[in-house]
Amino acid sequence: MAVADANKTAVVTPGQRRRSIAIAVGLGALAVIFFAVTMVRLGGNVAKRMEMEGKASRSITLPAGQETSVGQ
Amino acid sequence: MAVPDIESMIDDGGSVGDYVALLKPRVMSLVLFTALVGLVAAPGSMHPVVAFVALLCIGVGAGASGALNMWYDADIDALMQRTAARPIPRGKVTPEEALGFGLFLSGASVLVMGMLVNWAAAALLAFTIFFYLAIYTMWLKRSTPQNIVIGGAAGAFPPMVGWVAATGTVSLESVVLFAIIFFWTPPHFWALALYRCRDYERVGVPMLPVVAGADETRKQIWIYSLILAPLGVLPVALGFAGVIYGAVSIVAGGIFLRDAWRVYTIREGREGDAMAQRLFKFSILYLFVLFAVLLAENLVGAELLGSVGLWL
Repeated sequence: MAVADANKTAVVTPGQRRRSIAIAVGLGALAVIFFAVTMVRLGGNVAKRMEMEGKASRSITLPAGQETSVGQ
Repeated sequence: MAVPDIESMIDDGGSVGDYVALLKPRVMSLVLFTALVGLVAAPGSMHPVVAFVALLCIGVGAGASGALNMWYDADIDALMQRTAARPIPRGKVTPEEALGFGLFLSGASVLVMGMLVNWAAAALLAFTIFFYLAIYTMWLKRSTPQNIVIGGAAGAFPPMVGWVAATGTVSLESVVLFAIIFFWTPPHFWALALYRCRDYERVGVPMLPVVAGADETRKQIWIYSLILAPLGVLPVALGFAGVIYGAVSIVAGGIFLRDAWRVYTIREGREGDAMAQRLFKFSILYLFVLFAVLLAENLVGAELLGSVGLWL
């Protein structure tokens, strides 16, 4: 009886396997979606920040007396 | 020696297809279509990836509502010919599994919408699911002949959710899209109920033709059609639809009114039933054409379509 029970729990039916695969695909898709949206949102902000930093560094390299507002 | 088939002795449960059926894919496709129109018609631009996620959340939320509806209505679904083949009445999925599946997908769709799109759209999506389950399925469907009227709001929310996903706020234009579907729902369903109400009568769902009679239903169809036809033209007046939409909505609204009038006046025999069937079929075409033209105008460009309209 105990052996039969052990066999029963060890078997994975095709239906259970397909459901497990569907859940795995769903979770994988969720991870990809979170990654993609994070890149979309972060990407824009990073680009803006780099642009701002670029402007600031260009202002700093100007000759003294022409740019006074940097850093204020 | 015969080997016992252990696999057949174990309950295999529902297949992936059964779980997909719980999501009511046909309803989901309609929800996605109207939500897409709301999203595209909204002002401003949206990153395609974020727009895709918004639509995915709306679709999953609609599917979750379907699963929760099947969980609650399992008793009457088993008795009606149209719904007897659903996964719960067939014994493929237990009501508890459907409930868990629906609740999980509801929570997931709302959370993902909030985290990745915006929380206003997530709140509206949550309200839509709540409205469909609690207000329509649990309360109104079995208690009042006006079930279709109020319950129709649940089907009218998706374009509004799409609009809010794109803009972060509810505006008059999104309310007009909501109103078009809201006032379209009663004539659409009552036209069907006029010639197919026996199933509902048998399980005690108080559809209007059963409770108030066919004549009253025909009158109500006519009244709602009178409100719907001008509402369908309103997007042009508010400036978020172009010339082509204007022409299509006027012509389609006219045909809708003509068919509704025939349903109201031709009441007897086969011709009466034929008129109701005709209105039911045209009502599907009406909503699809209106939203498809609105979508096309916004995707292709209202000005371009407008110039084509001038050539025609």
